[in-house]
Amino acid sequence: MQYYSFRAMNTEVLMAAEGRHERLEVGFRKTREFIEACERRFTRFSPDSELSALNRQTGRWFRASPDLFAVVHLAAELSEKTDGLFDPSVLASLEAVGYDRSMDELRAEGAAPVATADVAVRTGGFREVRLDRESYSIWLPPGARIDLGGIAKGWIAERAAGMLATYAPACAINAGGDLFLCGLPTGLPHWQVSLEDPRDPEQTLAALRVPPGAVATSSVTRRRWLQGGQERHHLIDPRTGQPAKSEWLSVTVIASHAAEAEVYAKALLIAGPQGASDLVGRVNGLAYIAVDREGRLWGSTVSKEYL
Amino acid sequence: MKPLKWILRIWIAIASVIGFLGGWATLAHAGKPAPATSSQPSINLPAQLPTLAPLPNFDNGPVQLQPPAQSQPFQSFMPSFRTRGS
Repeated sequence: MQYYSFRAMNTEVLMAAEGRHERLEVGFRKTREFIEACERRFTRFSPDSELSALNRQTGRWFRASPDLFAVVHLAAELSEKTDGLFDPSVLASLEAVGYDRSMDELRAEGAAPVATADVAVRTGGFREVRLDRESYSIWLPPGARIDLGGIAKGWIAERAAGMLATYAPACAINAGGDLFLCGLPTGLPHWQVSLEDPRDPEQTLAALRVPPGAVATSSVTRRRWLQGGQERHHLIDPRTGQPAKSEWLSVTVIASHAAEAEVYAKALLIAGPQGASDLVGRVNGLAYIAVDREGRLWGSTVSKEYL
Repeated sequence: MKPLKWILRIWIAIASVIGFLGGWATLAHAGKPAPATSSQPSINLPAQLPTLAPLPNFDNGPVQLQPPAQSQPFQSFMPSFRTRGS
């Protein structure tokens, strides 16, 4: 197994692949170029990105690239499937609680204090999004600016792994804890992925045995900051427009597709133990592992086979 | 014809009585059945009954998961493959 790592999408990206060194060198380079191009398209932290251009045109039709259209289309489908628990149009709320610049900058500079009452709450905006498949056009409701952070990261990781797989029979992309795995390492029946303890990143809670496909984790302990003395995190509950208050600290989902894993991890974390059964009932065979404040693991009955 | 009929009837009656007595004597001398406390596996039926698979959990609620004890160290071929919150 050969490795290649670099920083992109505000996180560490690790690529791993089996194969001939010369061929993998080309594969790693091309995959990195693809990831960096996608990042330029999907970031909300650059005014030059295509996503920022879309967000400047809410209330009007926007002709998008096939890639942006694909991710927004996927987001609309998954928003409906999660009954609005996943809603990319929470960007105004996210900015109001201080996440208005990249996490690296936020940690260095701190967030501007905003009174809770001033936090813009705009919920359910994504339900009104309109899409025209013929012309790849997107219409966002007025003021419903969107953040595609997590879902785009998952989508990029899966596409990038597919690209790397043309150079290697077994490969994996790890984009800040969101993984997509292709093929199987020689002689092994599964990939092994360590489940990080959200209370202490140095510790591992379990070793997951994962088949080719996606693994994604959402956590409320990693992207945290202080705003006016109040602790904030990046997972906004679309029902309140505020950072989610969940009994769980992290949720990991194992699925066939990375965007789906990323979205369900987020939705399950927001839903918590009470709402999880509704969500799991709607998605047959959804495998997830949640970690509570005591470090105990929870999940669906199918989750056991991955431990 | 009449005497022949009578001979036949008497012969059937005698043969029936002899058959009945013969069967009685055979059963009377047969081995006794094994007692109910016998440890012979052939009568230990409950152990051979098929078992049903557990029913699926219809309430879909979260169940507590117990990771197996880490008797083996994590394989070192991909130490950096960790999933964590993003």
